Amino acid sequence: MLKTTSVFISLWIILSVRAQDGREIVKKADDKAKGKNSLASMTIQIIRPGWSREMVMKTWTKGNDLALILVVSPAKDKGIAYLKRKKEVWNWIPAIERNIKLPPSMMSQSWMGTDFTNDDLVKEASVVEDYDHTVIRDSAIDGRLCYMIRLLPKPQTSVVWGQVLLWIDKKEFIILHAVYYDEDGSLVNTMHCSDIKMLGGRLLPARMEMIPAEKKGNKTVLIYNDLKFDQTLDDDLFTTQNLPKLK
Amino acid sequence: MIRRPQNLCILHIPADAAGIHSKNMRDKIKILTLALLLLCTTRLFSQEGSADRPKWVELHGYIKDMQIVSFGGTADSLSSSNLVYNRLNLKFNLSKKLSARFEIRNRMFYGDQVAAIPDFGNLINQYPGNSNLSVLWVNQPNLVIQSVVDRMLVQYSTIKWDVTVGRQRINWGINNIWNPNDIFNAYNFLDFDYEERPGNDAIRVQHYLKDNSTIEFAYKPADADNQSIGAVLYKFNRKKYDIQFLAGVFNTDIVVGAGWAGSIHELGFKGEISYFHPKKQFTDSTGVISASVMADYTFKNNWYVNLSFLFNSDPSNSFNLNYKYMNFNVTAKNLFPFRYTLYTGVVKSFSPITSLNMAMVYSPTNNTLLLYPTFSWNIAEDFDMDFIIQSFFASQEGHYQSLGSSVFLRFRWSF
Repeated sequence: MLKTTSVFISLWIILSVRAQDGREIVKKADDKAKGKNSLASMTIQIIRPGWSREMVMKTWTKGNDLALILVVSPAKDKGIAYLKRKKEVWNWIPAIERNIKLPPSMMSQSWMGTDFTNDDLVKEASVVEDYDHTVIRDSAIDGRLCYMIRLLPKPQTSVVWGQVLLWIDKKEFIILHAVYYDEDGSLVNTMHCSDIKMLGGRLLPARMEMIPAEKKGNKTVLIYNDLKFDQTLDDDLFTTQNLPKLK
Repeated sequence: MIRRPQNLCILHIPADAAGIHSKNMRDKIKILTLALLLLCTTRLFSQEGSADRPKWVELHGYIKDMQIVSFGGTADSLSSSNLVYNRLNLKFNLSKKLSARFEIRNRMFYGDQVAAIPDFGNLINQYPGNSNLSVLWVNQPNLVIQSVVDRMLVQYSTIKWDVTVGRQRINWGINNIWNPNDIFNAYNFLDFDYEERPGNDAIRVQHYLKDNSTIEFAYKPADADNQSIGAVLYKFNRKKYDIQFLAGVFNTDIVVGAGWAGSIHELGFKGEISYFHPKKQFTDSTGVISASVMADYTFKNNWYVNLSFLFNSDPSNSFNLNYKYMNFNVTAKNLFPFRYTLYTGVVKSFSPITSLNMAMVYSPTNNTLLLYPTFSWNIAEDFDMDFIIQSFFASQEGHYQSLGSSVFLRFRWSF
């Protein structure tokens, strides 16, 4: 009897977690990775068969609505900056000393030739708000026990993906692995996170690899050189007039 | 990582090159070479800075070499020239609020194309500024060396204010190709080798208001009263649209203008319009309208399409193809010499380091057509190559014919 009851209780807990907490788990992991605001320095490596390129940039984020990217190297692109305010994105080009507003359709495309989309970088779509979440099962990634969660875009959200699968560490709430499918259900990108260490006072992956499904030998690696959370970031920082002054 | 060849910094100028015989010339070249060498050495200590705080002086720039071959049209023969081009951008971070910029372009032209243009050296050495900040080091029929300072400014910045005094670029454009609102220094998409554009000797005051809106004033004085430009610009963001209004004085005219940048669903949608009315005989004269609209869209698989349209109510209808070395005198009032002009640009990125831009410009006036493909290749981290063709066609004297083509092969090393 006791056994049956405990099985029932466990089942109830599991079911309730699956039914209700997919969103909560994703939100917890998303909050942990983003913080209320963040300031980061990162290196992006584009790896292709036969060649590779490296880019260093700084990013500032505040909530889901405000983000800035400043390219630090290579020399030719130094000073190029991006601003995202809600659903709008501007691109500062130092050589012509002007902002260019990007068309919304550019969001789903490759960011500066990487395997990340503009959307990945400035997080136009919210993994919490723009999707419905379902916990599918437990699954291990690199020896860490994870929730495997399916994300389906809510109707009428301009989300790039048809389906996203996330693997989130059960103990630490870290997104360790993600698989992105297009609207036809074909695999597009696989993201894998590693080098988990303390960053900005939190346990987070310092290395993320984005691997496109259809291009053999292609890969983009994002490495955090430095990450700070909950700094004082004024809203005035996230303006088109501030883009030329970023340092 | 690619190691940067340090000796590329020195513009190697052979002193015994044809036409340089006088001691005076050689001394000038020595000074130029020394100056460049010194500036290149400066970068050794200027490049390293901590992540958060920039160095008090930063140096960036590039060295380009461009081979140009022209054929067809009236010349009816092949001519060529070479341009070695160095740009040095110096920024001084004097204090938290005060900064200064000094930017210089050094160019060396040689080849039979240079010799074919009479007094080419003095032609390119004209600079429409208050102070003459250019030097014509060598002016020989087939070798011209010139330096010009096109930025020399001091800027005082606070969160709410920017005050900039000196030679500067004031860019009020919104559209990607034609900018009727860019009254100080219009962008010329044909002059691809000088995207920075010349500066204006001006004062600019920008005041930032809440919600990403700005009011600014800029004034470029001139010795002659009818050559000064001064205007007020107000820009703001509403309902996902950037909107701006401007009013002021443009040479002999009064100018009012407006522009926007927004979107229709996923399509980028931008436009600019300016109206120029003569100051003299204000009531019994007609003005000039310069207006452009554009739409752009990014497709899957890295295709990008840009459609732009330009209206010029006072077209000159004359098309000067000798633009290659000149500043191609476009103004916001006369961005292209025809009444209606359509630009289509299709960009395909084959990979993060190679792309092809197939641009085409068409005007019903004489069925003028410009084919303008650009192939770009980032060979190594700081080393680029561009292969560009500009081919012009039009109806002339009852025939549809080529007005001439130029092929450009350009290498660029950035530092």
